[in-house]
Amino acid sequence: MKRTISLTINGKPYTDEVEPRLLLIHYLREVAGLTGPHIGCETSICGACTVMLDGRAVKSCTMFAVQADGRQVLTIEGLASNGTLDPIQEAFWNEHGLQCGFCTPGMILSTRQLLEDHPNPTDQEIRHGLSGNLCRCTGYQHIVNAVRAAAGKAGA
Amino acid sequence: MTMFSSTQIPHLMRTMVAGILGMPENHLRVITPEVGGGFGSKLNVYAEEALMCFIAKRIGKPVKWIESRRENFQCTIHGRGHVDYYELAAKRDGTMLGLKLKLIQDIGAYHQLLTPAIPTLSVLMMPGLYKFKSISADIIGAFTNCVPTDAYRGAGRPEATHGIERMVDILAAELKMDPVEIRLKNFVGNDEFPYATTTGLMYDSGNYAAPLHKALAAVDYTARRAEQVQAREAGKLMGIGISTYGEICAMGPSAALPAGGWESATVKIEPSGQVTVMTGASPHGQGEETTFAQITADELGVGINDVMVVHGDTSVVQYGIGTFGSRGTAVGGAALFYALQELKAKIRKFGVMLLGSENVSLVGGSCVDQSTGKSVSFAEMVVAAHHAKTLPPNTQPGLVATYFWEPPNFTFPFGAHIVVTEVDRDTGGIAIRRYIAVDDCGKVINPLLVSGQVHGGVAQGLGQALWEEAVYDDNAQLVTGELTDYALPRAHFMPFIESSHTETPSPVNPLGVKGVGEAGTIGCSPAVVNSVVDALSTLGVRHIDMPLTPEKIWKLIQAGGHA
Amino acid sequence: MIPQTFDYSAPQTLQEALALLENGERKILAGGMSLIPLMKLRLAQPAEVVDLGRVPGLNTITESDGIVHIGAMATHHAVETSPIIRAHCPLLAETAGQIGDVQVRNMGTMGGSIAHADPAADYPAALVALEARIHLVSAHSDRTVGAADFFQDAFVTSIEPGEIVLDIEVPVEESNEGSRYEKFPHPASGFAVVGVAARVRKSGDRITMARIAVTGMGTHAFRDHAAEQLLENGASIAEAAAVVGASEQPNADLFASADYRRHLARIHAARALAAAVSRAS
Repeated sequence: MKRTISLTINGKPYTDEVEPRLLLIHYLREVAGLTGPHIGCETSICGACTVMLDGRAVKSCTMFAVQADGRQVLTIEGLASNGTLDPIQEAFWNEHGLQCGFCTPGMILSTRQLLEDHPNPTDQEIRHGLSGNLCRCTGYQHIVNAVRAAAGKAGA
Repeated sequence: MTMFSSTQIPHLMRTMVAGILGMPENHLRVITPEVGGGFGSKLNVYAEEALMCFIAKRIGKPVKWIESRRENFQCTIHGRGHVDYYELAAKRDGTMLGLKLKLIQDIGAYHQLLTPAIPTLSVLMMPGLYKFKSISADIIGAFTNCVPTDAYRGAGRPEATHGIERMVDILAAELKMDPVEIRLKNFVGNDEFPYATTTGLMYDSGNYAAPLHKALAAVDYTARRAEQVQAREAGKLMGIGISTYGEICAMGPSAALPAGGWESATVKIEPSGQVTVMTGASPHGQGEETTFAQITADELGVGINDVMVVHGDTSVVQYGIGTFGSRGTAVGGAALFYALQELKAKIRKFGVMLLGSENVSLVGGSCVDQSTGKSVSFAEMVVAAHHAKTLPPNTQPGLVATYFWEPPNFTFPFGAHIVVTEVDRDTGGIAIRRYIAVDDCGKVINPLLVSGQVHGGVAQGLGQALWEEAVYDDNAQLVTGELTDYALPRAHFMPFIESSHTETPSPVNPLGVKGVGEAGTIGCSPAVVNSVVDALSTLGVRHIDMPLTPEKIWKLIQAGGHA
Repeated sequence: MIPQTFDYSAPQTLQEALALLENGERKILAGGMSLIPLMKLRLAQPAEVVDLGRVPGLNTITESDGIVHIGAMATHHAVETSPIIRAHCPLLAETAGQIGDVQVRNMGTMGGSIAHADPAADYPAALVALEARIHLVSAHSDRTVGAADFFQDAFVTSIEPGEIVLDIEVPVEESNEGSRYEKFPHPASGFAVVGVAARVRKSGDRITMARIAVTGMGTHAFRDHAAEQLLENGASIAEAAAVVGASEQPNADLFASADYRRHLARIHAARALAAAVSRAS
């Protein structure tokens, strides 16, 4: 039996009828048309589907859309405003914190969480804060640099 | 029909799928949007790719194929899968003479696109950086009930490098020589290039000692050996592992590849002066969009933001071979360079016409009359070429050039990786204390992109050395079929990689570049295993097969090195 | 990976939830970190899911009369960062911080985790070592069960049909106590190949009380009374750690054999005890 859910995504209201079994990632990609969050492993390991739910990073492949009813979701599409990149996005660009880009939306939202929890993170805190996001391209080093740069900017 | 596919080879995909379906090749359009990494696994044409086109044609509706991660593990090619038996002949002074290999390759259940070529590459690169008088190899391809193997980052070279670099360390241990000394003694000398190997290759250029010396200085080798002595006295298992690697890149001369080894580039200068570059070497994360824009901006004297690099659409881009085998810049970049030279020559003709002088040179995009100092700008020449009110003799309007470049040889990058490890005697766990990578990929065009390739390659090499393994049960079912079971390196497992370079230009292409996509993976695994074997050498350990899982190491320690 | 269809209800009160759960076929959804993966694999195919996420008051963390009450819907992140838990049962905060990754800790709940009772989960070791009690309620019952009795087998607890975990009651660690959770994580899943929670009380140099609980090694977390008694009778950490898991049959899988798991339990027991002892002083 379908249920009606109303939620806010990237500041905009959405109301849709969904099956209870619809995963949030499928809702975002296929119903809301937001394909920034990616499906990488489906087993809650890789973090490519990471979005923020009421301000905390979560894996949207391991959550039903009905659980997001009445809540605030932030996806990668909600970061840049009027064509201006968010400081974390800009840091990833400047520091070459991505190669193929598949993991990047999740990495950036996990970074946002990381910098909220640790505004001036050590490299170890950065690496542990990103342990829920797999990257097969970069070896993480430029991602760590990007997070550090973003932290520096936020602190400045 | 339009096919969207996540592939490294859009044009080859089109040719093969059209052929399989019996449809005209020019009726099929293959678009490869942003491809999420490749590493060789997308250097293939999979049954599903042809099947989806077949179904779409049959039912007359769009068809989409989505794999689960498990299906991907079970149906996408796997890599490596060797059982190697080496014999090495050497003199007592450490001079290596001959190498003999029996290589058993797990082919899997079917041939994929390049399956048998991969162990062949291993054999070609068996000599590594060393001078051997003779080499003998038998390759046995074993069909099994497993997932087919094919090109995975390095494709045959990591296997070859692992073999020779392990054998060199074993020889050093037998002769009680330092692993550095034995390598320096056997390297191909700087004055011996081009160097013909006994396996039939012609190494283009090299200075093999340079990255090794640089890496030794970076890690402070003497101090680390002294530290190791103290660590051993304190009962700790500390290891220092060296790998010097050679690789074969810029795949490759067409004679060596089944469907052409050249690459193409088209450069279009638009009337407004913006430049569109179309490359057949469809990149997928390597960053050639940036590298090629740099090359174009440098050659034409335009701003880098005025260059747009387009790839991955067979209806837009001229035929190309694709990105694999560290060929994107070394072959595709060279094609671009030559296309740019053709355009520069044509632009210069308009400069000559506008300045009314033959004595002109093209400098930073402008044409300057060497006798009068008068100049015309890039914009003026570009407009003249497009408005075509008058044209230089025998010159067409417009500024478009396409170049198909056939490389005369492969390129042969090299480098040295040094890894310091500490083995936890109680658990068998391995901690990477230092990771030094000195890579010589010829001329470096974009240092940030190059270091990104090295870091990523090292991460894949570390994963392979420490955990990654396709495990099947007795019924040939893949046990490691999800990311919950198959461990990829995560951020907190990765050491800080101290990456630097030496630069020995390649004479093979005009850019002097060699390629760097696979270097990290190739240099890494033998350095890690050499380091852990070194750590356990006091227990009499001579060799350990990858992956170096904690239990395997713990059992070796428990058995005093004889598990 | 799409789950089987199911009916969904999101009760707004505890009473409503308990009434729904009178039908024992209904499955409870807490944070979903365990249930949803099982449903995606169709290893779990409940006909109806009751989402506790809308019931207010199930995630509170309070302390009274020497007992910390942790609402079942408190997330791992909340447990990890709660000032009350950090002050009064730091072992639990330390353990929560080692579960999965940040995203999992943000969604996963303590009640959901322990009700799922994965043999490789982290909480059970800490809860058993802390001698926590699990508060279970149904429409017509209300009881508490000691953690050591709660975890019965792999994925089996003492929860009866109709019951939910309401909260977890953890005695406050005393001032002369020290504790530590030591874990050997699986490199892929992050679960504990073996995890050992140790808790000691000291009087001078003497260990007057020891609690050692092991997860990951067997079908469910267990307390090692023999090792505890050795310590309390003056044996060294090495002597006590050497007997950990002696009477348990260890799990074996691709990553770790039974012998290796038992060995890891002993190594990590020694490490956890050493750290706990140093924290106690």
